[in-house]
Amino acid sequence: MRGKMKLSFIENDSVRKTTFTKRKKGMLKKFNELVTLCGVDACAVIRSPYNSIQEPWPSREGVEEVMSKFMEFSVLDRTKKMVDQETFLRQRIAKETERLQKLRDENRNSQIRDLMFGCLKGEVDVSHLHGRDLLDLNVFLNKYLNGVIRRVEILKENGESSSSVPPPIGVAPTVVDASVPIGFDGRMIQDQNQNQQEPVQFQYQALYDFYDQIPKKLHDFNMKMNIDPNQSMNLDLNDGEDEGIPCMDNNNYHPEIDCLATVTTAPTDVCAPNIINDL
Amino acid sequence: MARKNLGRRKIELVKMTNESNLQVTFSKRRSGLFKKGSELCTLCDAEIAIIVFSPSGKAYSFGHPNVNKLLDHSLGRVIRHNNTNFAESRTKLRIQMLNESLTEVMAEKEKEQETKQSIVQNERENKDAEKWWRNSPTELNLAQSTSMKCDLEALKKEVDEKVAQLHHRNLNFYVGSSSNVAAPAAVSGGNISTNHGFFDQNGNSTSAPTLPFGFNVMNRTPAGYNSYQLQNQEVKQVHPQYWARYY
Repeated sequence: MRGKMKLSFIENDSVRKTTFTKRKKGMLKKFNELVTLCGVDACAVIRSPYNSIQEPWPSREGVEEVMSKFMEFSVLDRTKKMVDQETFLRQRIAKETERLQKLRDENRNSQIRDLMFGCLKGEVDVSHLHGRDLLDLNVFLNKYLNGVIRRVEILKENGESSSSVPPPIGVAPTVVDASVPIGFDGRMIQDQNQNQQEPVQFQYQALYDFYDQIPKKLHDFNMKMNIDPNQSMNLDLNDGEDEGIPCMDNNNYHPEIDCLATVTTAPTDVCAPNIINDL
Repeated sequence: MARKNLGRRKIELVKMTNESNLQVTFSKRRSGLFKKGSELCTLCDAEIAIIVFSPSGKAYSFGHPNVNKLLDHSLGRVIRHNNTNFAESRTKLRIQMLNESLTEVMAEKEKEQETKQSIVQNERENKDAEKWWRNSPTELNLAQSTSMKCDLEALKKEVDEKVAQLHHRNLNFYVGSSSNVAAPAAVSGGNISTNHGFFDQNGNSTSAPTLPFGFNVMNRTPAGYNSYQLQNQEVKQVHPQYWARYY
């Protein structure tokens, strides 16, 4: 079987001539098929380095006829769909690149899906994943979990209930399956969900309270800045006295800014412990 | 005529009657024809001009080096074009580079195709093992969905912790100088009120502020100037040494 032909100029003269003859015949055959199947007009002019005479297809009269029809078009209509080899190659590269990217995305999705199921079965440890896989897994996991949650809601609305216990996922069985081997009850699942979701709601409430305070304090500060410098300093000192801060020492001053900086840039889960301690 | 097996089949070489199929067939075959022409130009250094009219009457043409030039030759008119040998050489070199780039893209695409084939093969093998949790969420019943939901939430919590650690590590790396001081256990309301000047200005300036940078920014704005004066006086009153720490 022949190998894949390199797409470049053939140096050997005899091989090049043979290739030209065979490929020209094949191309004209495809030309015939196109014209027959679609019932359209077409012509081609092929000029080779070996013959000074150029070879029209289908015939000289046919070529002249099609070219006359072609020339009747306006220059704009003629050149709108006209490509030379360079332009054609650029278009092909762009199309193939787009197709390649789509294929890569599909493969990545499949790999992350297998990775997720590997984590669920206990075959893969989450702590061993590096940044790229971890972030992609996080995104995919959110989408998949939303799909499953929607499915649960649909089934509950339909009032469907199942008395059979599903087999465990992979090697590690779930706590619910272990605790209720016989006489499965859907209500148990709901209670379990409620217990699990309470901490999450609490954290969200805490975050909400914290972020609700910031605009008010920002507003107060902006109001102060509108006053002239002398009064501003005096007012700030008075406010300090009212709030019961006699002085600021080294330990309290700089770390506060670090904490606020952390609040502005870190994800919300990192902020949760500080807020809980504050409350 | 009903099709028995899926996949491609031979077609009769007669004019098609279905209009949409006709248009699709024309588009595909025209593209393939131009591709063959391009390959012939590259391999054998031939000059080719192709003109095709679509079923809707549009004119598609492909030419190397140019459609107009070959048409003039064909009609017997020998009109001198402005192309010089230097320009032709540059065009030829550019086409060669484009061909190499196209070859690379096609090779990578084939590699991805092989990867996809292996993934599909693995999925087929896993499906034979009859594992219910690999089904699409739309095929699960209530018990399966609930069990899957619990496991996914546990996994999501674990992954979120890892992602948070990843972000925190990056944050510490970015503000390395500030991470030397430990964060306090609690944040009181008064301190928040006092530090909002820094917070506000720094928030406007950059997403990841550091104290020296904040000072520099505040020195350039009226609001920053006021805050600077205010802070300067307070610090001097209480701890002069503390002031020197940042300069």
